Amino acid sequence: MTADVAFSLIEQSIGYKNHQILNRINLTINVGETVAIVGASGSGKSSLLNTLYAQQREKSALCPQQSMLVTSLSVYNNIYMGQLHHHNVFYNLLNLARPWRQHRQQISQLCTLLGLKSKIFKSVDRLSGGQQQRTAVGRALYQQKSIFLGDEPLSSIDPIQGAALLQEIKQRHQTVVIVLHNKEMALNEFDRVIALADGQIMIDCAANLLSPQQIDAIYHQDIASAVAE
Amino acid sequence: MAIVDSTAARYRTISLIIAAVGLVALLLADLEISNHDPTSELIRLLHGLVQPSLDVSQYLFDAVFNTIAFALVGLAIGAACGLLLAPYHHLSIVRQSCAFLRSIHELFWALIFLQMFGLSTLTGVLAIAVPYAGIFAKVYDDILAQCPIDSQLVFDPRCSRFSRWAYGPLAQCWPALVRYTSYRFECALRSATVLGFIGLPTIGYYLETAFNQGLYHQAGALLLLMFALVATIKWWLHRRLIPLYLFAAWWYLPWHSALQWQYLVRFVTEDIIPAPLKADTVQLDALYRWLSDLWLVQILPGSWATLVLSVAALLMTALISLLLWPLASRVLSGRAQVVGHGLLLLLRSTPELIITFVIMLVIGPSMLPAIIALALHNGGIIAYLLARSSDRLTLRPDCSRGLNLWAYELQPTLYPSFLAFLFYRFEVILRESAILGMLGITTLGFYIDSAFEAMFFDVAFVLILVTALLNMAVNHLSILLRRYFDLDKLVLV
Repeated sequence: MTADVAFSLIEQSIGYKNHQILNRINLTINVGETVAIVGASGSGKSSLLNTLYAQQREKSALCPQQSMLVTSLSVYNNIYMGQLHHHNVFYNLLNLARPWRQHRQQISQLCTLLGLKSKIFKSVDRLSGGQQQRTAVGRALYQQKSIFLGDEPLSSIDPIQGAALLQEIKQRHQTVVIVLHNKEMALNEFDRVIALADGQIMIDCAANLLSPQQIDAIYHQDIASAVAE
Repeated sequence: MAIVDSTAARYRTISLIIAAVGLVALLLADLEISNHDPTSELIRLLHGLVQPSLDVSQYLFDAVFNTIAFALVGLAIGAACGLLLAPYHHLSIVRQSCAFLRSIHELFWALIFLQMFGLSTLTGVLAIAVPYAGIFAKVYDDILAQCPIDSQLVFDPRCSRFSRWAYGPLAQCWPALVRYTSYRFECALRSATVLGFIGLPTIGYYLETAFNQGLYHQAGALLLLMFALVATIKWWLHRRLIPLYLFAAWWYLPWHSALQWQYLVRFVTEDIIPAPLKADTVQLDALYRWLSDLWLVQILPGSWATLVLSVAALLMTALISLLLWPLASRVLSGRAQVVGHGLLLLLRSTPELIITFVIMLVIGPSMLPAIIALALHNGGIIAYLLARSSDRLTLRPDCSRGLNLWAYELQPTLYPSFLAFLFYRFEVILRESAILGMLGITTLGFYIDSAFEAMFFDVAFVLILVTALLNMAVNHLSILLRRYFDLDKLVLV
């Protein structure tokens, strides 16, 4: 069954030399799963996600927390960046001077989906925070990988648009791992929820077996009542 | 159809404008290679540089110590005056005066002081201290203005303005002030070096002599010494030792030449007064004729040549810096960045005047050596700053590599900094373009130098004023451009 494993961490510690963020954790994520990672700030969610990314660079599209866009370039070019590795350098350089028709069509469709249709040739520094975040999601989607790794990719997008975008992400990827703070979304939209606290994986179970109170308890550092049920 | 409205497009427009204007300037510029056999001279020169004379004699030590001493004392006085002026820099009169002080190049100040104090230590020290005071006053004020403490709120209203300032912004920003001042020391060393070209006994003096006499092995040794001096600053200039160094420098410099008041008074009250005004009966039409002659024969052609040279040099500076910065960037060049940094260090530690002088020996006098020199030196500085910024960027874990990384992420991200540095450097390039006239290119410096040589101090004085005004105008343009493109906060140094 190893062929179906997307990620596997065995007794893995994550952190810096003198500062361990996660201690000897075990985690397996199978192909086809949708996983939500929750936990208070500083609990190691981003570090975990980056560790997962390092394991499957080729197959994963990463949407990092600071959207890390190149702000002077247009939405189009920022999204195109998701496919830089598919083309040779000169093709990419020419695209900077003049967008290729084929990509313009594809990215334009993607922008319609992201609600950025009218902004496609605006530079990112002229967009709102939510629009910038959608551009970052667009860049990840355009990579057309089988795994989506997102670090709070929907945090500054309104709930309705966010839900629609999440559906799109799930449709386009086999495996989805997303860090988020929205507990309703975590419980209703994902197969599995992982909660981090105290450098450990405190909860790791099917989403339908969890209650919102348990997730609240994780955020309130009330580990006992989170794990109790 | 979606609207194209991107910052990149705006940067592209201004870049194309700089390129177009620069190309026109290059077409107008005199780019003649008048030396019939440049290669043999070049080979002789390179031979000298590669095999520097190792005959270390007394004069080498004198040259080095003089250079350091002039730089240190000049910088210290300039910094002290700048610090005193900084709290008043918001006053229009102080601001304008400081802008005026720094719009005149050290060498022009040196030529002025030369008439007042002769070829003396005071001339050299003041030539550095005066323009640097203007620079420090402005930059210190800029740094202090960024201080977050609102000193009005923190302190008891009864405590004096000075105490509030000293315990508030000054204390808060002290590290930034020290950092900037120590960066300026490198510039002061360069300034002290080129003061040798008007006869003060610094490295530049011996360099010019060695080059003129064709002693390229000796010149090579002096150049290497100059690089070594700048490259090792951080090892020999410890913060704690500065007072000791200052004291030693003060003691080392020969202050013996007595100040001759009559020269000073005569220079200010007679020499610089326009000739027609000195006649027994002042005739206004004579003054008008004097001025219009000056305007047509010297000011117009001199200013035009200065502008043409500096605009052409601006374009080449831009190209050189864009080309060179990736060499010194860790993300792009990896370990080879050491080589890039070495090259950039060579470029930025050699003053334009010396690069121009050397290239002129090879290809003969024209604007070409000046353009190459200005582009190499200023391009080297901008490339260094860009490479440093590129290594400070946080990259995405999934960022691309090589040319893709350069084209899609690094260069677009650094472009605003590049433009900011370039606009900022425009003023510096213009000031240097004027100075390079002293080597025979017909920019304003050429006319100023000739006027001093012919003892037409009144003409020289007017020409220096014109140079200062031109410089202040370009500075203003640069400020407007930086503001328009929202780049003000990006200029670090």
